[in-house]
Amino acid sequence: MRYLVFIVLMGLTWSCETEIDVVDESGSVPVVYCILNQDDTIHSLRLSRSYLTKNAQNPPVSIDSLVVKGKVNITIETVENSQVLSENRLLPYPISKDSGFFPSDLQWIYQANFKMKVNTLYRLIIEIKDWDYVAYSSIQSLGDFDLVDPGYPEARKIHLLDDHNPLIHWTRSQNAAVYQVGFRVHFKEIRGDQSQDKSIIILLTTAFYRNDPGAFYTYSINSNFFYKRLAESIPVDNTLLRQFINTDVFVIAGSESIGFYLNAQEKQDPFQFFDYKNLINGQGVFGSCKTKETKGFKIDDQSLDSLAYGSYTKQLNFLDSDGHRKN
Amino acid sequence: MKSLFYAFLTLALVACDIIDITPDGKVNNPAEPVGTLVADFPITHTWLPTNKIIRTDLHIALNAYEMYKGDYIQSANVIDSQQKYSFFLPPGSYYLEASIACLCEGDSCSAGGFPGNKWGQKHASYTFTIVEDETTEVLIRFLK
Repeated sequence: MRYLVFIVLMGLTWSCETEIDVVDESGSVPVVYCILNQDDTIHSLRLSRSYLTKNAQNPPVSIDSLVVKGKVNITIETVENSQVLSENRLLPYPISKDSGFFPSDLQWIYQANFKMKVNTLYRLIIEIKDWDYVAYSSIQSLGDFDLVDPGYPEARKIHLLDDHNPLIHWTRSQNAAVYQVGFRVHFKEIRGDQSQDKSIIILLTTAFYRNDPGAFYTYSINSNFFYKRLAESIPVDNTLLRQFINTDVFVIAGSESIGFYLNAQEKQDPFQFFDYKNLINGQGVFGSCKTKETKGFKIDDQSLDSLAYGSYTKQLNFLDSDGHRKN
Repeated sequence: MKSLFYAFLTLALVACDIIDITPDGKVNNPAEPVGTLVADFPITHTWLPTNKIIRTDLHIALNAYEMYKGDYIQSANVIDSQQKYSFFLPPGSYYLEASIACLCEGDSCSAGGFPGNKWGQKHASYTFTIVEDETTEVLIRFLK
């Protein structure tokens, strides 16, 4: 009996661990950003991992704290009727990262080449061999939709003045929760006898819609807002002249996860922003987006003159509807 | 305490948006008087399917010469799903210019009365008068 008590006491003593590992490697989880572009066949995923910090104030002690090392298997499965139709392996894709906050030549990006279908289930599986760990997520890809207005750039010019705001109409994309509406403005920069074509994206709105609009969603472009955004996006340079070429109009539909992410970003709510994820056993966002675009709209003469001499954009030195610049 | 009261009173007076109301109770709006033009722009055609004809232009000019030069005072962004377009204008006489384009392939557009083939356009112009606080309606039609 005395031996038994002694053995139990020895067992209890040995099983007690007196050191607490404050930097527990097993506490790290994968951090994933993967937005599938349904209009492209190249799909990228960024993989990093969480690290220990205090009130999100301390940067990681070394780059090793952010990179998932060792063998990692990343797969995106196409699922239809509960059957896996195809498995697409994402392979390490070497990139030379610029000198950002965490400059590193270590592996961050994985890529795969496959064509996506609309309204189809895609399942992401990340297997980290060294951790004996699996993180996963799934999304329903977005349905097709149409950009209704503006249309027919061959015959219609856009009038960008506040007497009649241009309207953007688009139909609903199934499974989408957010839409971004914007212009891609093409212009020429002329310095002496040299000219260079340039483009700039003007994002006009981010709209969170889930309801069925019936026919289509509507966004009315405030012309002053457009010129203001354009003036904020193009640097003033008095040594050159600019000539408007044309503009493309686009609508990007985003999945529920992107909608939630953008919403949190817009509200500037750090708790909602950091807490949001749609990955099991991980942090980050897995989603998809789809773009509809109509290219090559001219703007009418009155709008060209407003671009050249309007209060917001006159310093940008755009030529007017006659191809002149009056100072 | 009294100085605090005056400070609040001053702030309240400065912050108030004073509205100028005329003796007969109307708000005195410094903006110039306007009337409304409603341009009714239906798509109709005798020989061509109407879904192959689109509205392309709808402009208001001060006179025929300005209209000819393309110096419009207002323009609408015409679309397929909207037939009526409103313009708010000071009282006076104006010119309206509207155009449509044909989208048919082959020689259907020219056979249907449009100049040229696909993207051939027809134009129509009207004069109208705007009276303060009244609505003038113009029905746009194109020659066959």
